[in-house]
Amino acid sequence: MGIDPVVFVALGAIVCYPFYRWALTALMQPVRLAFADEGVQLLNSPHLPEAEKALVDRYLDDAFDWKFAPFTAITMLPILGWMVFKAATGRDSSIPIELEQFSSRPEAEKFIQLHVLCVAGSNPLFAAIVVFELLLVLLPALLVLRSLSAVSAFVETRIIGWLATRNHAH
Amino acid sequence: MHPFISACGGFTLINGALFGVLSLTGVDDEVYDWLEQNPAVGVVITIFYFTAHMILVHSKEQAAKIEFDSRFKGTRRRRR
Repeated sequence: MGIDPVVFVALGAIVCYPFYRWALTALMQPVRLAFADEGVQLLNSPHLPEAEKALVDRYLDDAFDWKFAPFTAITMLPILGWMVFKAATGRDSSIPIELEQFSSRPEAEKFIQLHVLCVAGSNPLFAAIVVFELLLVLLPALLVLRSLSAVSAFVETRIIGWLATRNHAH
Repeated sequence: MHPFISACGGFTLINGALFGVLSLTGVDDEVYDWLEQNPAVGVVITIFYFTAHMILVHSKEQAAKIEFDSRFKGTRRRRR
């Protein structure tokens, strides 16, 4: 029974897929635990208002959420378009006040970055699609904001953060 | 999510992606022909996939979720 290399690769991919999922879970676990530890610190912080603690809870719910990346991939470009439209027509484009306040806190920065890593690691395929979409809008955004860190903060707060609050609204 | 449903989702995804790539590269007929001639291999691989997913992947993910949740003992994190 001779086996064609194409058949071998195709069937090998199916056999390897569960091991890939197993390895991905193992690889992501230190990131998720760091995310949990940051979340615990924020939840126990006496300086954080209840509204922002509820926000931390919503972020934490996404730690294993495989649906978040597809949700982002589908909705990100229309949301960006809507934001640009609102800004261009002079309408209010503000995000929820607790999200605005929370994302401006220095102690929340690492937590928000870990959230992005966790949702990306829960569905790398769609996370790659999100990255591709981001590349499409990154260059124009860089021209407008003129700072890579500003673009990064914009994406983490205005898009991913906003989606984190919307993802559990239903 | 029930592990069997999760396994079905993963199986559909990997097969869809795989045969999408094979179709685009025009070599999918070779795989179909080979599987027609060797149906037992396809059955064995399918059984292996579901067994590995139910045992290996599901148990790993459950353990990871339990470890993650254990970090919140003593906090006021609400459970969904």
